[in-house]
Amino acid sequence: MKRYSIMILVSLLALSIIVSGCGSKGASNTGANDNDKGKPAEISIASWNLQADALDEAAEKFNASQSEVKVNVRRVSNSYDSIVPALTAGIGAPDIVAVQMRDFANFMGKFPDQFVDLSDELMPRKDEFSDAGWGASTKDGKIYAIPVDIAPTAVYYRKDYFEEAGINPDNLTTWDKFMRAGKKLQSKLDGVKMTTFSLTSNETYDFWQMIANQLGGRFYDEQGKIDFTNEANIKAMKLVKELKEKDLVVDSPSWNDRVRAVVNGETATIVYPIWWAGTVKTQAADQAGKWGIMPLPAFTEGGPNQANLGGSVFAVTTQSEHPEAAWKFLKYLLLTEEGQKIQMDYGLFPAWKPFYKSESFATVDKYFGFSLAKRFGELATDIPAMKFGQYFYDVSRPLETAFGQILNGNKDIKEAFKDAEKAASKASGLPVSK
Amino acid sequence: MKDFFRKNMKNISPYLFIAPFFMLFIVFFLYPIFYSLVLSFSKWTSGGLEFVGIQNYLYLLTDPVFWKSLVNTGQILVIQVPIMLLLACIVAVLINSKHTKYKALFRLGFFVPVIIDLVTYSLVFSLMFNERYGIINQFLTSIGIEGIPWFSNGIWAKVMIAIAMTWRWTGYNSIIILSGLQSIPGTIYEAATIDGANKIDTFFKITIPMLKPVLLFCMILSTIGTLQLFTEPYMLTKGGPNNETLTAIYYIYDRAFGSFKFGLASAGAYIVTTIIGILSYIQLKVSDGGEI
Repeated sequence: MKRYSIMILVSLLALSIIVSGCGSKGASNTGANDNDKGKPAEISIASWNLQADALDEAAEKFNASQSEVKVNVRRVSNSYDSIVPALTAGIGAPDIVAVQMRDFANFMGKFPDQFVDLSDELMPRKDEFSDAGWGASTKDGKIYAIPVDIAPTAVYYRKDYFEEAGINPDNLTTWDKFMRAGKKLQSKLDGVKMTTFSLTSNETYDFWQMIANQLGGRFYDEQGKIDFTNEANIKAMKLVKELKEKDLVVDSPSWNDRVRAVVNGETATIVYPIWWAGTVKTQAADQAGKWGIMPLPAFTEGGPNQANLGGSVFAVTTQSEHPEAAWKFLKYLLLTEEGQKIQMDYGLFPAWKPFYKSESFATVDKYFGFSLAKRFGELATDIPAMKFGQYFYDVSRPLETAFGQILNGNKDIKEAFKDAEKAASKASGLPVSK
Repeated sequence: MKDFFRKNMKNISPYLFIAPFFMLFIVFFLYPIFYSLVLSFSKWTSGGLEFVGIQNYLYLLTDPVFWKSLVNTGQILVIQVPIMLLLACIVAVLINSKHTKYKALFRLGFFVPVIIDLVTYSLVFSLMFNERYGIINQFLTSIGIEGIPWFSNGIWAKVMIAIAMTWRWTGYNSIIILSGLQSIPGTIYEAATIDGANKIDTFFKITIPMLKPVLLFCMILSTIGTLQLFTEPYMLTKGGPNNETLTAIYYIYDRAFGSFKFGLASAGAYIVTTIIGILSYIQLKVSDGGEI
């Protein structure tokens, strides 16, 4: 009899362990009942780095200003490591996700049922957002994400280095002039190179994309076929190669290396969008007032000198139990001056145009000594649109390989791009343009 | 009724005890193995699965990048495993030697790298080997040698990964070999010294052959582990430069979580598993199942 009861106990224990594992699924449903009782609807929004910092502040203010919605900020990596499994499994995703513009088309393609259709709210307000921000949010005529920030690009330069070398930034209107000034600067200043970007890792891609964008480069032709060998792309690559060959670049294979180059004063300039300002402010706090902004040099006098690198969108997931609450927060965050001011403080340039006319837009930044927003705003008027497409990941990886082959293997640019086209075609299933 | 119950109760108890483990095994091992087999023959979107036959397998076998990743993994395997096992043997013999004091301290010292988690130690290694600021290159330049391009040269990048892995796993293997050493009868060594053999001879002609079963075990385990190499390339070199340190599992990870091609990744996983299986079988056959 004693053995009998021990048996029962053990089997009950085993069963309870298994059942408790299944029980957690039910817990998330209790949230939906809270709203009825008058408690705030809790929603979570996920993002990374400075964007997450901005959200912390915005959430605090939003939560304090009303009691129907409580926003929690979830910090994630910018490679979506914790988001993708949740979207794949269909449970556990936050109510609002931040996705980079170039990745969102891919997300829409792979997770067609995971994002809420926001067309009703956003279609009537489409023109309130900059063209550059609409690169990825639409599919089949419906809007699935709200543009958050765009990333107009400029050249950050050390005012003190330029002065010492006798260079006037207003004269650097073309890349040829930029390179000549670079040689002059390097001869006068020891241990400093003109600029920095990655020469040896796959992050060369970022610098190339800014230049290609400036020239109107693209990945696909009008019919959506893969096209890397267009003139703009090749010209951009030629510039990258020339900068390396003229020894004007400090090699910074990773983000941290670029920060180090800036903090240690090894580079006189860095070509990056507005969101780099936040990093400079926090990492090189002792260099306040030494950095200036100048537009990208053009390739010919008076030629195009605007580009975009980055930008993100927010999407509401269909897994969310409080989509209306999520929209309320998004409205505060992105469609009011107060919300956009917080974004601006963290170096995130709004895609929402009405903010450009507000007073906060023109505030002088304490670190830089002039209005960052206004300066970059001037460089955000004619940014050529760049289509990333649903298969951007498959398309960009072969390009990264090609850059390595060109810069470190001396492969011919056109040949390397042609090989990249073939690899991208294989990976994405799209045909190559003739 | 009661008799039937009482008779079979004795047989049920073992099954009830292992039931919890089996539930977990089925859910977290068996089910994923079969589901990914199904996945490998399909195309995945969050809407559902679409059967595509052997398309995924064909894609992989004709993808030069996949082959490159296999070659890279093979290169690291062929260099790193033998060197590490030899080092582990030497370390084990030294720890085992009667002249060594504070054996426990040495055992601990060599084993601690195993306990450190992969991500942390990869991060530290990436700082140490940083081409411009890392401590290794700074040391080299201080004694007059030019800094080594650990990250920008394909061969040196592989060497760096091999160094990292050796640092981490030598201790683990040496502890296993140490236990193998304990089972070698001391009388053999005595007989050898009487016959006039020196230390080196005894090491290569007695110790290593007597360790055959243990060495085989370590070799198969190391082969399986190295063929699944992922964390070190991911944290240290991101597969660079130019896919020179892209390993098979890294390639699969990219397809799964970069391009969201879960079907393709599953097919890749099965291909790698097959290769591991074949290599393990060959190793077993060649060494006669580890019989001395």
